[in-house]
Amino acid sequence: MSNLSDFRVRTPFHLPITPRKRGKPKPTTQKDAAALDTLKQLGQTQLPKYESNIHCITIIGQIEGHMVLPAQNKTTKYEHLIPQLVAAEQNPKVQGILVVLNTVGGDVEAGLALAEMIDSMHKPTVSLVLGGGHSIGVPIAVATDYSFIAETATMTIHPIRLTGLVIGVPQTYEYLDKMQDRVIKFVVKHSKIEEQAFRELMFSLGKLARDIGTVLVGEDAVEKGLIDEVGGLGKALSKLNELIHMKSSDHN
Amino acid sequence: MVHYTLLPPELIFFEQDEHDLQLREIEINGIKMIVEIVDFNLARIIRVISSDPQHFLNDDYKPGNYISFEIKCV
Repeated sequence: MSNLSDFRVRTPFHLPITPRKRGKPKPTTQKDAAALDTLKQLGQTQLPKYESNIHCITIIGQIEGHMVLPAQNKTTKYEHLIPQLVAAEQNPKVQGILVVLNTVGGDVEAGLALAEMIDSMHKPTVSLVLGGGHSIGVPIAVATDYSFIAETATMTIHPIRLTGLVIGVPQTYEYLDKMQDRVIKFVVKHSKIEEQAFRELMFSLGKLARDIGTVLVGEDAVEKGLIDEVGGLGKALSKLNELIHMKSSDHN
Repeated sequence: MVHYTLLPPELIFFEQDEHDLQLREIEINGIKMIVEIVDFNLARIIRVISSDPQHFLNDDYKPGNYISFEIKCV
């Protein structure tokens, strides 16, 4: 159904279509026509175009990997985000990236791919964990130049577990252990937490009802050195603007 | 594929049998969005996928709005 995009868009379906009277001069450009239509139909004009110098990458729900998850899952797909990141890095009008997270985790490879993409960008990046940035959301949150967590937001750190088809040989365990090491190494490299401390959080007992691991709420994540600061949208945007300013003054 | 998530697998991998929404991904005027196909030439916007925050202020493409298509013969 990708050929749907070849179709032309008409006015939204629910709006009454007012026929244009004859003899009146036709608007010159398509943009004028659209503005005029809105004015006629709703009695309002379109918002003046404002171009943001920052782009916002939202990572929500499950991070979807090589398999399409069933429809009831709300997912973030890497085929959407990776081209967005490439475009943002390339576009001279985009000066900074804000990464907003509210995720329960997901595919390890896809999550690490996104984290590596964000980390390797030249443009200033700031992340903001709202609600939750659990499991594979942790490496993505720490991949940016500076990270924020909302006061009430949580991050759960727990071991990678087996799901799906399991072949019971020692290699299975070693493979999982390697996967886990990839996540731990990335987080340790990109935040202020020490490897030993992170492993302790990951394997601590008695804090989660059905699992081993730790839940860090807002300030806790900052205390452990995982996240840089507690804050919300305002602080995150100010920091991003500060980083953009620093970068542009470096160039001059 | 290894999943690293809080949710138990039975919550993620069960298939819903109830009526499946016919969701499609389309791009209109450079804005990528997920739409539900209502009729052969009519779709309802479910979600806008964009990194440009200004795209979300565009009244025409707010979730819930209908988009009708005109079929062009080439």
